[in-house]
This record gives sequence, C-alpha cells and structure tokens, in this order.
Amino acid sequence: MSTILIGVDDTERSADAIAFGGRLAEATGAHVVVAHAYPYSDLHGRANPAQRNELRERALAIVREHRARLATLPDDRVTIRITADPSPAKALHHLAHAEKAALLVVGSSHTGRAGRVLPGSTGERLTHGAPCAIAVVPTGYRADEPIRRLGVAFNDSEESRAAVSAAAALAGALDAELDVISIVTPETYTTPMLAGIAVQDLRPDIEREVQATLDAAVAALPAGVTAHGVRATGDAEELLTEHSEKLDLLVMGSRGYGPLRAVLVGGLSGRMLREAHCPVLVVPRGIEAPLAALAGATATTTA
Amino acid sequence: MPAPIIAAYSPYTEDRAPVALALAAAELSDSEVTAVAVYPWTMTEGFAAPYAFDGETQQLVTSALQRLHEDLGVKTEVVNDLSIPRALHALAREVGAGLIVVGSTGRGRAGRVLAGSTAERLLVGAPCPVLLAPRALEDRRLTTIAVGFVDTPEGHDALAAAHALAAHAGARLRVIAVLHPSGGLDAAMAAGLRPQRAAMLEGRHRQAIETALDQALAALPPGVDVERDLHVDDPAEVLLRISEHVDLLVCGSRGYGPLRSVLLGGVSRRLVDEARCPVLVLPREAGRPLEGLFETDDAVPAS
Repeated sequence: MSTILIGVDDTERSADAIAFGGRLAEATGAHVVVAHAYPYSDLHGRANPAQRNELRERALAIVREHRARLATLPDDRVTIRITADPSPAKALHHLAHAEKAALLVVGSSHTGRAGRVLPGSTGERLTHGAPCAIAVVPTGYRADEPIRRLGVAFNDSEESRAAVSAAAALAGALDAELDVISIVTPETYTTPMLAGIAVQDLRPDIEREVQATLDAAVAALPAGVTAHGVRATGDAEELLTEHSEKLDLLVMGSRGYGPLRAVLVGGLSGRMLREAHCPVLVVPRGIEAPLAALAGATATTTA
Repeated sequence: MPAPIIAAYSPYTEDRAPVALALAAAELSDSEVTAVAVYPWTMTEGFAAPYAFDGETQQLVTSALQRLHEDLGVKTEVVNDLSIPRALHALAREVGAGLIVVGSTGRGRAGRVLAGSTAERLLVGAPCPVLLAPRALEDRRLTTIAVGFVDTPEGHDALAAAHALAAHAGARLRVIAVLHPSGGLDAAMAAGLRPQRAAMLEGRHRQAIETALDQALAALPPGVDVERDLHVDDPAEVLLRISEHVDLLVCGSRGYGPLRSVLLGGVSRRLVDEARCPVLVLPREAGRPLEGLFETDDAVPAS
C-alpha cells in the first residue's frame, strides 16, 4: 500500500493541498496521512505540559477539520498525525521517511498569486532534499475539475526519464492524457551562432534530433497511456508556464547533480514551482521509476 | 595529500575574491587550489562535434584565466558545461575536493555576501563544505572566526570545524550561542506567555545552552583563544551583526535531509544572503567536515 502525505496548517492553502492529495488518493487507491506540526519542543527545560496540551488540542482540531474534507475516503484509508516540532519542514521530512510516503503534498504560500503555485518556507525547504516526490498545489485549486491532462518536462536526461516514468504511471492510474514536453532552448544553439554558423542552418538539425528523442520516449510508454509529444523552441520557462494553463498537473525531474534519493529542484523546476498554473510534482533523483508503487496501487484496489 | 580546493572563477566579472579566499585557506592546509571557469562550449548531445568553438569568447575566457594565473600563480582550468553549479559539483566529486569557494552575485553590495544562482545551488546538495566569498573582498586575513552554536550534531560539528580552523590559522574563535526571545517557541505562542513564565523558561533554556556549550568546549583541544557569548535575540540577526566584526562565519547544515551534503537551514539561509564576511557552510553529518583539508589534529600548533 502506497502512502500520500499531505502537510497541513490552519490556513486556506492547506485546503488546496487536501483537495489535490485527496483526488490522487481516490484515483490511485493510496493511503493518506494528514499531518500537522505544532510549534512546541520539550527540549532543554522548555517543557510546559499545560501549554503542550493546549497546542496539541489545537493541532488535533486542525488535522480533523482537514480530514473531514476527504469525505470520500473511508477511515481505514486515512491516518492523522500531529507532531510537536518548531520546524514543520523537518517534521514532514521525518514523517515522509517514517510513513514511507511515495508523495508529499503541500499548498502554496499565502503571498502567491491566485491559481499559481509558490511554495512557502516549508514547501521551499522540502523541495530541497525531501526523501520522496513532492507536489506543490496552486492557491485556490479547484477540486471539482477532473484531472484529465498531465504534462511532463523531458530533455532526455536520466532525471527527466524518471519524471516521464512517474507521469506515465500517474496518467495510467488517473486515466488522463499525457503531454511529454521537450523544449529546444536558445542555449542549445547560441554558441555555434556566435561562431559564425547561421542559426537557421543549425536549428532544424537540433529540432529534428530533439523530436526524434521525444518520439522514441513517447513510443516507449506503456500501451495503456495516451501520450502526445510536444516540442517547442524558445524560452523553456515561458513555454512551460504557458503550457501549464492547459494542464491539470505538471511532473518534473530533480536536477542532475547532488545527493541521490532526494528531491532537488534545479533551474527550470525551481522556476516552474513559482510560475505554473497547475500543481507541480517533482520526483526525487536516483530512482528509476518513482511513483510506480503509488500508481500501481490502483490495480490492487480495483482487482 | 590534503584534499584540493576548488575556487569558482567568473572570467566575465573577474571577481578574484573566491580565488583569494581559496588561497588563504590553502595556506592553512597546504591544499592545491584550482581556479575553475565554467563555459558552455557544449551543445546538445550529437551536435557538439561538427561545430567549432566560438573563438572570440574562448579567447576572453583563456586570457582572463591567464591573467589570474600570472598574478596569483594559481592553477586554472576551464570546464565545459551549460550549468556552472553542475560542473563545479561534478568536479568536486571527481577530485574529492575538501572545499568549494564561490563568489557572491554582482547584484550584491561590495563587502557583503549574497548567494547568486551558482552559490544557491551549491549550498543545496554540495558534497563538501562551501565557502561563500563577499563581493570585492579586500581583507582576507583570518584573525577572528565566529561560529553559531546550537546543541545538535550539526552544531557540534560546526563548532569543532571552526575550532580546528582557528587552531590552524592562529585565529581567535568567537562562539555565539543565541537564545530566541521566545525560548524556542513560535513567536505567536510566546506572545501569549505571561512575562514571569517567559523569564523562567528563558532562564532554564539559557542554563541548558550554557551547560551544553561548556561541555562542548571542554572536549576540544586547548591552544585556541576562545571567547563565548550568549545572546537573547533572533539568531540570524545576532550572527549578521557579528559578521561585521569577524573574518569568517562558520555554520552547519540544517538537521534533516540527505546526509553528507550541504543544506541551508533557516538561519544559514539568511547568513548567505546578508553577512558582511565570508560564510563557510559545512555538509551534514560529515563527522569532521574539514578533515579532508586538515588531515590530522597532531598538526595543530599549540600557540
């Protein structure tokens, strides 16, 4: 049984996280853990039982309220967890480990734009080093719109292949279509341009090469997944942001260097986490098929 | 052989601060310093070969490195990569670097650190300590080193590393313990406390920190002039104020996330964006994070 961990606090943005996490759980048959960290520490003579109880009660009320929003999920599919920790990021990190979560879902910061993603300080810290995939949900996420179309950014790197595998698994579980998006950026051809080679000679070459790689990636997807290769040339951030308006979820890989089995946002994924119009999910690096277990859970529940 | 030191060098800005700092560190450890310029000659795979390098830019890069070599006598290297942090990260792993020194972004004020995109990415996930140099650093003498003390494994590692560095440099060590006015509680929670209660919590917490600090200092070898302070204030604010009066600020990584990697926490995050002296961030759970540079403790001069 796979687990989706949803981090909540007492703000509206947590409702966005619950809405998205709940729908993924419904579709995949995953178990949900609704977690909240309250700012209390027993360390160093700071212990204060009366205050701890008060904070604990408040924390329980918060998670129960969010749990109640997951009306379609029976009690044996949902666990609530509260943790005393002055750092919610640390608490969620440890819980993701302890619960062997496949995915951690958080809402966006209250300072963000409506309908756009923007991790708050907790989300930000988790996007650097979380032990499992992490999804950041835009503010004002609509729970009633079905997840019909997924997108995944693909540049033929190992990390992006992991993202494609995760996105395909999710698309299968959600019965959604999948756009595999490859972007030819100016950097890939500016250097020879400076060297005196006319860009119009080179660009078609690069585009052909990218298209071929993209076609091969799409062709290699499991038969049950309806996937489209989308190739565009230009600024990757701009084009992906624009495309995200048509998507219900954008999946990305971690950057290609740094510790393994951890989420590490890179240049483009970092910018998409501040710009996208749909939830953004970043998979950890060094795992070939992240979310396979999560999406595979469908088979066990429907069988 | 002590582990080599990598200094990131931008051939465009020609800011020599990281190289100067790397050389200063190398004087203490006898490490070899390589000044590395990263330039994207590379093209998309399959396209690199047929096209010549851009002669003019190549000339600019090589002549900047040539000048650097002539003035400072430092070994230089050019690496091909579209991503500067990725190249530095890969090189650090390849040569088993004991330290990466990076400069601040050109947007910052002279004499202050401000992590740019390269430093930012290395400060998340680098496999060895990262030293961030202020822009246009003038004085690179190391007479006073400061370290923020927290009673966690990461905090003890940072203290030990700063102490070893001070011993090698013959520098004074300022150990700063900071007690948050809220006694470690969330500010909103602390606001609700009665003043006497807050004072009592503060007293107990203060005592706990002092005891931990005493024990930690007693376990370190003698021979370093140590000055210790305990402040009741916001930890980042205190360390930023102190950064005006010291030559180096040492801090550990946050206490969760991938091991043996550098990972900024809440306080170090602010230090790398505002400090007025170089900031050294150590990787998590590396045991003795600077041991690659300083191989044996026997070499510590009993000054």
